[in-house]
Amino acid sequence: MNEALILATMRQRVTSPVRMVLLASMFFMPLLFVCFAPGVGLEPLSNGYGLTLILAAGIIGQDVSSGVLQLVLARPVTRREYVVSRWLSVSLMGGLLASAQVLIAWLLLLARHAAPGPAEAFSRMGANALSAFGGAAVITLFSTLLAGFGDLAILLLASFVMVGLYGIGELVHQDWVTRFAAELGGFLVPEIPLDPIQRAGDIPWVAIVSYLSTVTLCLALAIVVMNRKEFSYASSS
Amino acid sequence: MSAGIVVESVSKTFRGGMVRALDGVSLSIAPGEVFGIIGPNGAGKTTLFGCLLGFLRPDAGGVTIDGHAPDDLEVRGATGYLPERLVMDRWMTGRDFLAYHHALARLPAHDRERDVEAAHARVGLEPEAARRPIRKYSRGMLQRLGLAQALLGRPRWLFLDEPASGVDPAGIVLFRRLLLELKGHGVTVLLNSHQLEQVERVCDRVAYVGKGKVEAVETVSAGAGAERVLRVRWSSAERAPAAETLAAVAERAGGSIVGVDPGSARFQVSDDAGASRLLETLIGAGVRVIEATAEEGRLERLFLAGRDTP
Amino acid sequence: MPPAAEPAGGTRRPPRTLLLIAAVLLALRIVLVVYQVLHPAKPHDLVSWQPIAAAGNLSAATSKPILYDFSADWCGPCQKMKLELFSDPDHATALNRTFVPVTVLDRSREDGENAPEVAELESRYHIGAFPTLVVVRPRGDPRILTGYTDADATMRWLAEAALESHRHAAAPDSAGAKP
Repeated sequence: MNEALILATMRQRVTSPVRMVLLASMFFMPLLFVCFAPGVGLEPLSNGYGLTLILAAGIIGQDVSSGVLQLVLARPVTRREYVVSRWLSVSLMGGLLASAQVLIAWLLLLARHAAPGPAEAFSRMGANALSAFGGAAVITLFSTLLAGFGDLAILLLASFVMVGLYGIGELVHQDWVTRFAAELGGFLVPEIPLDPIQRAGDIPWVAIVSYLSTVTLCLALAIVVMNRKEFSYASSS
Repeated sequence: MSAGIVVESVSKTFRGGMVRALDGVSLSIAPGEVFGIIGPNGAGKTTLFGCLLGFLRPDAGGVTIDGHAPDDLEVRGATGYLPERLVMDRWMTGRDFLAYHHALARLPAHDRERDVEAAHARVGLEPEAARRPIRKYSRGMLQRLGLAQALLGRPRWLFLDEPASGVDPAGIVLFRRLLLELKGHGVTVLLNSHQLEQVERVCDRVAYVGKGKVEAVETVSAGAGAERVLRVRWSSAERAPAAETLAAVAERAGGSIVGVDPGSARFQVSDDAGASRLLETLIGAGVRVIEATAEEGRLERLFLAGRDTP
Repeated sequence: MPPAAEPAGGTRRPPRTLLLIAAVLLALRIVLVVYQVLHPAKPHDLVSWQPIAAAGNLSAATSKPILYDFSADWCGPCQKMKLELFSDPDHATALNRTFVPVTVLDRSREDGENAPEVAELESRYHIGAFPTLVVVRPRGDPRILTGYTDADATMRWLAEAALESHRHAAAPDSAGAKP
């Protein structure tokens, strides 16, 4: 929404060496795999959540703990603009990377005559892009709640809860518990599988509604949290 | 006509009412005034600044800037802020940083390059420094950059929190000159500083904040027609004049004696004419005056007075 | 001035529209999920099974190996495999893409004996238990997997079998012995 913010965010993410190393590994390792094991097709590629996570971790929490946020918010910038711009920025980057990864893998497979059809490749690219936007929204919300990289802690905790619930549900044979755990998982990793559409014209309505619900909810709540935030900006006192 | 900054009975507590940072603080800062805020650490100045900038919401009372809320978009567009703990993205160059804030302030893009260069020059940063990444800046350079950022877009309301910290004397002179220049343009400046000398030299009025309250508001600038306190020193080789003598002399000159210290005394005079009358009368009465200055340490005295109070 | 009032033209404008949309979508989502839990969709087989007679020609035409699924209605693990493997969209897609899938249903218990083509296939590959998966490559020996543990293990085995098949197809000079 705010071009200056979006661009500055992108540059900020890119100039962190640790982030870049992690990103490079996450990007190239699956591609190497595809290179040497073409028979497995596009399977080694993830859905792009990992790439987005690396980019988005600490997206707001870092600004809060470093004190940069106050300088920015002293400008005529609404908090909504700030949140949406940060989200959009990492979503675009993550989506682009995740899609590019699929494209490159597909081209590699094409060269080995082991590629799936273009429809499948493109639907995979689209799904990855969507997953980037979705994952970024979830991380953005978590990042408003805790300073620094607290968002990763929240994600980890939520994942444990989900796995725990799933286990309990299986143990006591209660479908609704496992279903709840699955929904929680769907919240943490929002995605829309585009495969069914390209394969059989089957539109996954429930998945679409869940995805949109997660993204809008996360962004709305993130804005609300930021609106309420008070900055006791530290000075020597 | 602009309404200035009005702080009305602002109270702010932290930690669920345990810490009373501000207790019914009221201030009225006229547009174009340079207003200083001084006080001991932990007295609530930080909190006050936070409320003035709209970063903290008062539990009671409120702050308006020109009749609007402090974080109103219009007000923000006319506000410049230099925080005490200056933090910027360290990978940016000086130019990048100012260009970024120029864009955030919604200033026209076609002016950007020119404005950024001018801002750099204004605070005494060299062009090569502008191209260097901020992580290579010295403390003084950071402060200058911070001030440059605050001055972008000709703000009408300037909030400076310890602007001179870490700045070399040349920089302090530059800053002072800038502030006086801004004063000339009618910019309202709020200055939070521990450097009492600097505060006294640029501010019109100074508020002393202690224990969450405004304990005193002093008028600083003495114009020709303003009342002031004069400190008169005499030669120590001479026998000190008696206090009653000094008091009588002061009254004859139309002033009054405020206090006597070894080697000097303080007199209240009504204006420039009264000051010269007093000095004439003192010398005429045989006091070997060697120096007459405006009262020193007046602001410091506020700190000491605060401590004496139980 | 009233304390803690939200300024309308301020930097903290509440995202009313977004909150509304989020609330609506959340409600819709809950409704859909509850509906799904109460009316679970019947899992159906997503694999495009081909008739036995056409298998050979199809395999030659598409250069894909044949995947024979030997199963029986009374066999529990066969149903499990159908549920976890063939009804899963991702797995089914992969199977459809990689093989020419053919299902061979044993009816000896129900009918007393099998159709001739079923019996012929069972004896050709020495089928003794169900389920058994057989991957038949254009060159080389068939790969046989008896029994079913879980979807991932089976998929891995199938992937390997397909890989070999691919290698064999790409290198026609190789002796075609089982690796």
